[in-house]
Amino acid sequence: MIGKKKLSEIQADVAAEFAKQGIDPKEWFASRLEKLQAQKQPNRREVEALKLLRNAIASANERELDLSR
Amino acid sequence: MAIEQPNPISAKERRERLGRVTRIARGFSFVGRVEYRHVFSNTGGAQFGLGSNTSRDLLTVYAEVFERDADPEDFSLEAIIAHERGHQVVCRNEALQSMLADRMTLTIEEILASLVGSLIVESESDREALMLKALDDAAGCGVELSDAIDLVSELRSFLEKTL
Repeated sequence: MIGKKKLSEIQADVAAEFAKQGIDPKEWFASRLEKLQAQKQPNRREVEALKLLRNAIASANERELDLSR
Repeated sequence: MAIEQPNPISAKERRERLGRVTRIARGFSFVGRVEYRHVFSNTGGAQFGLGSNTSRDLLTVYAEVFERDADPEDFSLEAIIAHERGHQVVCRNEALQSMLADRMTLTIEEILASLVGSLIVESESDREALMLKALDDAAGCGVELSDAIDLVSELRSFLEKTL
């Protein structure tokens, strides 16, 4: 079951968790991706998965910014 | 307490809803029976039922799924059905079951179902939505967010390689 939690609530929770930990998601993902891609044989699938999460969280952050304006 | 129920729809609309749900489910290679119930449920909109064999598996879709699909801030019908197909894959894939048998919990199954869903949906926004759902479930277990991100990325990579 996908559950009753709306996608926008999930986005808000994840964005809030980053903020709570004082982490800038953009920088965090950039550093994580750099590390993965610097490996001798980077795991293409893992890089793709990380990019998907990065983009999903970036859209969530943009949405939060729009709402706070 | 009575649960609010959806406004009635015509038999034609009910057939159309079932037709749409069935086309999407079959497009994701769902095997088994597909049904549409015009009631609100406590499931979030859809539910996978494990049958005695694959052809007896059941996908039940409820009325609220169409309300969620119409809301741009919520999961689409495709994403919700892909998640349920994900449950079928997780439950029916022998290699996956034997590898995860002693570690399989309801939360792990939910995470894996979303990740399988993210591998089969066509649209990028549905892929991202299901990745976020998996991350939310992983983070909900008390795992640090950064560890949850690593877990979800690694599991997706593993599933893509294994399935």
